[in-house]
Amino acid sequence: MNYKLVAFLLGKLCMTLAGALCIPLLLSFAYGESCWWAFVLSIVLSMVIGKGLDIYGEADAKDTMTFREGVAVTAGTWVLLTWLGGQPFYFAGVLDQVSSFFESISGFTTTGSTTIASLASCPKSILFWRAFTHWMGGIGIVVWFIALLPNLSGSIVHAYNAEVTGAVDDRVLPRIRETTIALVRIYIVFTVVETALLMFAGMNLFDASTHSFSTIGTGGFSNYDDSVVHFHSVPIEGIITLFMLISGGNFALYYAVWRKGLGELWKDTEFKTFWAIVAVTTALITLNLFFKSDISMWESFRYSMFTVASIISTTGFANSDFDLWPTFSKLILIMLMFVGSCAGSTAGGIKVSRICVLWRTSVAEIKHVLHPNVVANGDGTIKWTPR
Amino acid sequence: MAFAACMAIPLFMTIYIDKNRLAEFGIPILIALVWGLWLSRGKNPYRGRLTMREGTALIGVGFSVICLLGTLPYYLAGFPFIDSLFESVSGFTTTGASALGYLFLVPEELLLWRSLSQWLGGLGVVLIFLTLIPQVGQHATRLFTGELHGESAERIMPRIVETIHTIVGFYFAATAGIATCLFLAGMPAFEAVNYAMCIISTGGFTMSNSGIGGYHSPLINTMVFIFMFMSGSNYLLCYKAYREGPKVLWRDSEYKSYVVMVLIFGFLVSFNLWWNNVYYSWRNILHAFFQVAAFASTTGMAVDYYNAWPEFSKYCLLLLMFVGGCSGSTAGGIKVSRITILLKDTWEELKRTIHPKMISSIKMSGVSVPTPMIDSISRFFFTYIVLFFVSSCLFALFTDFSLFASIGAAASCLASVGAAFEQFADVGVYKSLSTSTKCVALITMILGRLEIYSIFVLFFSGFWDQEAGKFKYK
Repeated sequence: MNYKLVAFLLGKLCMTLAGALCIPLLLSFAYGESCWWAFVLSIVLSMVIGKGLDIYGEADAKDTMTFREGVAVTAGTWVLLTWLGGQPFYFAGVLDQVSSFFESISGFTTTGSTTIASLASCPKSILFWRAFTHWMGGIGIVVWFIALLPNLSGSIVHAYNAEVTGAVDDRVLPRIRETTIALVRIYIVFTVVETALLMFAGMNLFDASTHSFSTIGTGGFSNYDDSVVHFHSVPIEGIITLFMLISGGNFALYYAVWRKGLGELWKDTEFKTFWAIVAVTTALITLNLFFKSDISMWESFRYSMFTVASIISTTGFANSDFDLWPTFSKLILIMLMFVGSCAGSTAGGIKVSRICVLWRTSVAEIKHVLHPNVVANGDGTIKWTPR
Repeated sequence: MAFAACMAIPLFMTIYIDKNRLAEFGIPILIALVWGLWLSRGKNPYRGRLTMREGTALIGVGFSVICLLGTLPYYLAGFPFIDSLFESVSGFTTTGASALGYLFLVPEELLLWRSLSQWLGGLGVVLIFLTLIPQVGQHATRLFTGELHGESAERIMPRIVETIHTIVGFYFAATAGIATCLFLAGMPAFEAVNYAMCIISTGGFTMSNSGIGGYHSPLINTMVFIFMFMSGSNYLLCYKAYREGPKVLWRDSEYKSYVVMVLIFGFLVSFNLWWNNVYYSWRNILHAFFQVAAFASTTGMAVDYYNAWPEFSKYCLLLLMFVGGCSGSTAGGIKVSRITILLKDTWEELKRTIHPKMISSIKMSGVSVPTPMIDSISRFFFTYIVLFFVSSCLFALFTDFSLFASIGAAASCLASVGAAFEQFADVGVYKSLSTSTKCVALITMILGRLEIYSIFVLFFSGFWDQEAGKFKYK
């Protein structure tokens, strides 16, 4: 294990975090909030730790990173950065030390569970930082790293491998830097477009940007205790639904679409399966809600569509209290939590591609039981998206 | 194909003949006799040609036929058809959920028939299917793994008939032994015999709605715990241990995992109960172990109202339902051997991640497991989980009970346990449920019992094609 290289990379990452913390700091100045010093303290802390690691560590450009270092950097990143990322909550007096660590982990892992009892009394810059952790965590910290540190990008592949999820080899690795920058660009474009659309639908810039961060990162932090219900607006729910589903798709696929055209979408097995799952489960829950409770078809559709998108993309926004839904609907939602979204997306879960591969091999297994000596499909080989 | 089915029927008839004390049993016996004889008219022209197709058809169809015929006694005694069918399927799949309602209103002969059906269902593996083995060529190994679960097939292959005789003898002897023990512990003779049949088959039908707990006897509880635990272990292994000494047990990976699992979960649940002051002193341990063995062996008997236990204990029990007993036992579930292999493989996967070029293999009882088998087990696991989800959704849709109740009911039917949680903690709850719920439970029980693929294959296109087998398998 090359400890110096790991320390060097972690140090750089702490510096990056300090840079990111400047955004809410500026925001707190802009809003004239008293919690600006919480961000200053966090920035100083990050810089001190980052500098310390930097002094200890050194990186030779020839140092190639093995899988070990990759895993160490990724794991170290997630522990150190989530801890540092939680400090503003602690210094601002919003949460205690453990809760702020929790809040930060929940943010960076795009989980979206919160320990803040009342969001209404929270400073706006703190709310912004919560959503921003989603946004940074969504695409993966290591991805930012690759985009920002050109000279090391060749050796960072292993860290990327350890962090980026999914079963499908989408061949981003050979030209990792260009691809990563393209991914980040797509990520930013989606965020900007969603912010613009949400503002068009009536949100102010602050709410629109934070909700976009949460949506694109598939996190689920909202600025209000009652989540998206707060807005009572069908267009807003529609826009968020759309972007939750988009964020559940494979970003590498969007990159391919960007280069080769929309046809790529329909060649992708996982993408098609993902939308099929969304369509079928939405239909099932809509019908279940319609028949089991006294709301109209349109309302059933509105709630089920939003909730399905929110759960399958592992975002966690709510536009109704689905805890009160019939058990059937709740079970479908639990199932969706397990399935999750596409590989290469910001969402969690087992991933559609894995489920899809398992499903097809299981069907092949039945055929194999039937024709034990047939080779085709019997050995578990299945067809997948041609690339 | 029919020639194969007919071999099962005569065996099945003899079973009925033992029971012809009653008019309501006379008619089913007659039907079974006539049908069996009619089917056996044809000679067996394809000696040694029982392929996977015929084997699977035999399991699937034979099982359905037996369940249907087993329905008649209840139906003729005046129970509604769907309840009778449910009771019969629950019996032959050794599940133990009941749709008869208050058991003290049920005549004794029917109670005996219930227990007998479980006993037969448990023995079904050996009695009905394994006797066909001498007739078939090597293709039958697959059939064998289809019913006898898991990895034990190779061990039994030599001198198969003798082994089967021994196992049947073992099954008889164990039943008699359990009955005697229970009788000596103070249970009335009739109930002791019934309970013995339900325990050895890991079925779990009870003689009264209060079940084993109704005796309030720690001695009986302890005995039943031991017998349930034994019934969940591999019969072949027990036989081997009987012949070669108990050391054999400790060389078997699956048995070790099974013992460790029951111990760990037993202590976890005991501790949880003790921590929450559920029972007084040692009863925490006794009740915890009893219930853990009941769920791990998929018997599903209840020592007390475990539904009132803390959540942690209930989730432990739910988990045990998925694992089930050992392969080569009458227990249901995914089976300890499969879970052990999957866990070992997951651990290997971690190591392979660190050392990508490492060549590794995992071993069960000192024999390395081939990769195709691991793949096959993973697929089985996945299919099992998918079925579990689908069936919980359907339970939820038709009953509108809580999440935990639906999930528990699905896991319970799939693993042939019978008992579950909340509303389903009372195994007799099915009496009051809708026909559609009962149908879901029925299908889930059969799929779980026959390990899914044996049934799914029946619905695959081309399966029933008579010509197909001839030129494909030479």
